[in-house]
Amino acid sequence: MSSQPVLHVRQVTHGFTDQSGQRLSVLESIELQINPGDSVAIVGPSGAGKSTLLSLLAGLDVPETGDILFQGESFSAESEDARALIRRGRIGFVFQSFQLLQGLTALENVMLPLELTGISVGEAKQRAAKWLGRVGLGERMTHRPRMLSGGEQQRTAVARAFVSEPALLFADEPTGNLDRRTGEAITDLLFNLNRETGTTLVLVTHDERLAERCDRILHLENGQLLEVVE
Amino acid sequence: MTALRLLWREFIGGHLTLLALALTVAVGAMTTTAVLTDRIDGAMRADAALLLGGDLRLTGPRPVSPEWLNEATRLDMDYTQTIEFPSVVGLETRFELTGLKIVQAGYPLRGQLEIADSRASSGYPTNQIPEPGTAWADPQLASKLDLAVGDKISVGETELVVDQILVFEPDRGGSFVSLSPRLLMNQADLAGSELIQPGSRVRYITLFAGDNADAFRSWLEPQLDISQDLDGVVEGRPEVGNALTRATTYLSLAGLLTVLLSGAAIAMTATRWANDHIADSALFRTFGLTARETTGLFATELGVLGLLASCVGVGVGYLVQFALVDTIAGMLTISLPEPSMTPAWLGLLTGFVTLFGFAAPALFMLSQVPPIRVLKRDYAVSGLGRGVRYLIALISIAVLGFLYSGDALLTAWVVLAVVVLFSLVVFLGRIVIRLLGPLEKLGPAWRFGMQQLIRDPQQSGGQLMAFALTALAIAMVSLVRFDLITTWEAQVPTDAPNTFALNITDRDAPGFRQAVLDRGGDLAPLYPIVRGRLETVNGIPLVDHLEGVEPPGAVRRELSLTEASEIGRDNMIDRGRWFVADEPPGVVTVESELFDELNLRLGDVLTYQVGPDVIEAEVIGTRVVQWESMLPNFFMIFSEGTLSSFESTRLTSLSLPDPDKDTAAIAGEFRQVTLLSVDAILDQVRGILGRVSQAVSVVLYFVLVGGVLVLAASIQTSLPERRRESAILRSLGGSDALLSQSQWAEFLTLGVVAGVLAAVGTEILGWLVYTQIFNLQWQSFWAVWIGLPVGSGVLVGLIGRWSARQARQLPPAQLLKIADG
Repeated sequence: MSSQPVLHVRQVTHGFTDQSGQRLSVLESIELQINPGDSVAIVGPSGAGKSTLLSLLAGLDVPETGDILFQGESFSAESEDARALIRRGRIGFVFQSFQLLQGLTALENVMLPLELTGISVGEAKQRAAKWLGRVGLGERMTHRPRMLSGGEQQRTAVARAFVSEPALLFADEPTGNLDRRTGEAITDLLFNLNRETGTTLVLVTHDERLAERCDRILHLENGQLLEVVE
Repeated sequence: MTALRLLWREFIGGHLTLLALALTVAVGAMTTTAVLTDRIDGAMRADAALLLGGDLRLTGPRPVSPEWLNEATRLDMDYTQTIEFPSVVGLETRFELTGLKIVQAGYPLRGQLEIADSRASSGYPTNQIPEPGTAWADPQLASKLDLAVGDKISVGETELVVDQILVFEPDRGGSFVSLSPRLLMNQADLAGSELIQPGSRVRYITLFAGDNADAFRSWLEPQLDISQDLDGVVEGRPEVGNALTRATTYLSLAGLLTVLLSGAAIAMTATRWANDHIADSALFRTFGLTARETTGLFATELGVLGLLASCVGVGVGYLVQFALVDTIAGMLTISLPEPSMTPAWLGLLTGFVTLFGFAAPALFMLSQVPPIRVLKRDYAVSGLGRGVRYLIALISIAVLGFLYSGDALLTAWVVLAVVVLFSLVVFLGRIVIRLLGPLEKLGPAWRFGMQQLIRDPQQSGGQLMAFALTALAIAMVSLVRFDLITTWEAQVPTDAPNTFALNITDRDAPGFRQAVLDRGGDLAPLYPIVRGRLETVNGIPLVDHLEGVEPPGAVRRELSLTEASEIGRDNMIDRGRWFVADEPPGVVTVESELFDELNLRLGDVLTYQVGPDVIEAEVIGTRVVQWESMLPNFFMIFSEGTLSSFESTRLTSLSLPDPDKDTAAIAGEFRQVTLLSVDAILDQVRGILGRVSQAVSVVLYFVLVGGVLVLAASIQTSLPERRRESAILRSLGGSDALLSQSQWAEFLTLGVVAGVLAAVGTEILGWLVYTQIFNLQWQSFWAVWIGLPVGSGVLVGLIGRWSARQARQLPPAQLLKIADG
């Protein structure tokens, strides 16, 4: 396994200017390295900037100062489109609200990232079916999101995140919209797949039990990121 | 390919149904209106071309250049030449000044002649012309010469056998100029008659007919000299030409308003579609798609959807118009020509231009969705400014409107009216809705209904605009239709004069008038006729007065001058005044258009040459003349006494209860008076006006149906919100009756407010369209102010309830699931 970190955050500072013109600092001089295969939980109170940090780590936004390198490639200096190309096929997402396309079946939702990145329909279908099978939805592939339970929708989203076999997977409150039992099932699924595929997992959560299953827990508060050591 | 698969999957999933439906309805409505308009317009023009004997008529003092005929042949135009001039025709010792018409095979190119085998028998249509050596005399000539079929008449140096009575010439027209006795003869006999000599006052007429009439006209017009006139139906036969022009403009107006309605529906559904795809756009960016790829994906999806929906719309449009024509076949007396392909292209173009004009801003917004929005839903998406969005929409309407109607002025007025209506909705609509806040006190149903309106001003404003536009469109097409048909009915009322009387001497005038009245008839004033030519204006020769500009045709020849003390009922003074009682001789009123063409001013003194004498008169007023009224009308009417020193005969028009019997009796009593029945001409004009009226009615019904469809589509766009609201209210224990009543309250209020705004819009657009486009008088109509709010309230209320019923009828659990999706 390469010794190069998957993510390397160097002296990242980020904030906003509110409506009254006052500057609000969200992240201050953050330093972080995440290694391949790690599972990392980012926790903290509401409004601490967890989602902001996640968006910077995923290259969805760029920090005001500092640099973020994904597999050695800097996000900070790149345009939005260039960052999108860096993400392509290498970074996956699981969202709290599932973000499935309502018009598509479970299978089609999972095929989508493959198709959009130019993989043939046949191959996309084969791979998507395989991943839906792995998340336990082999029998419900032709169902549309509206016909699936919350847990099944999130399983579909997990399959969609893993289908490109990304190096890095971000999960934003993946159990936030689910009841406890279903949440636990999704958590099991995520960690099993993380182990099996060697994908690096970065998740933002309020759920302490979910955070405790990660290799590392990072606590974000007052703009500072502190590693929680058991 | 991914875009196509996405499109297909979304379509199957039912997520594009609304947009596709709106586009299909829009294109279908446009295509149907376009095809119907195309076919009806074609039928009306073909019908009206019968009145001219062809599609174009070239008149001049010389034979037409062969080069022009070659060009006509090159453009696949048929042509035939006739020659007309006055000459004396004799039978034994009786002679009569007659209008000769020399025709060749093929005449007339449009319509048919009608002939009778004897003076007593009735006429029948024929495709023949007189054989060489024979001629056809009209009843007037036959009566004057007392000739019978088979008699031999002398025409110049030749003799011809009258073998038919000419009952009807389609292209003769209803003006007094055309009312001299007529003899129709074959061109083969012209040389032998030796009638045409240097200096003869001969009119060479060439009739053209064919599909390329417009192209040929454009080619020919620049080459005409001052002595030549080229007329289409509109100029050649003003009694139906005006109606035709107005009907065509009406059809354009109806089409233009359909474009507007469709645009409004597409704008609403496209914005809904874009809003539904903001999250998808952000998601695609997280998958690694660039902004350009994402935009390309949506643009392809929208473009292909546009193409497919437009194709379906065009197909639906053609089918609907076939069904419509089939359904109304019993009502229509016009035989419609086969539909052409032009409306299909117009329909496709409509789909794309409306889609671009109204959905491009939505597409632009999707291209601007930042990927971070996938995590932060409140992250603002910057789109085009509101002003730019409206500007693009307006430009699209203008482009389509012009493409559709070809009438820049009409398009400009409609676009202006839309801007005004839009401003009304923005500034007034919201204020009015807010002012209706106290209605909440009427009970919980009203409270929920009103809150729905006030809470989402953007949505209620959009719906208000769509409803007001629909009400405005329907009101406008209904009003214009009503007024046009009323005008046309008034033009040839059932008691319109059916007989012209010429050559009434002063001595016979009182007796003639009494004879008509005794038989229960009615007659216009008996106008004295003196022929004279306009020579100078304020002592300056006419040519110099006009500074080299070509004088209008009416004053290039001798005019029929008359005098009167009372103004005709089809004349209206628009500048200056009419004569007062005891007006001294020497003043004149001039027909308004000629007054302008002659560059005259009130107070100018005109000099006329009447035979060897000269008369002078001061212009004191101008008259707007309804030439199509079938009553005697004149360019110049002098005060009484001005023409009394000249010898004159009188003419008038009259209506007789039993034209055949009464005409014969009066003609027997006053043998020198010429009585001429114009029943055939009246029937011809009535027939065409009746058909034009049917055409505008059919298109009105279509706009009506289109309006209702667009209305339903616009309500459908707000269904997801409505379902959510309903689900929440029902899950909190709201009864079905409460929901139903609150939807009633909401839509009824929306409909009434839209109706009031539409009434304001109708006043503005109505005034513009009536006065600037149709030359009709606009008067505020109280029924608009009552009918529009009430009609719109009830209609919108019913459609709104019908569309939203799904939101009430599903169980709350299922509704919530739908709403969350």
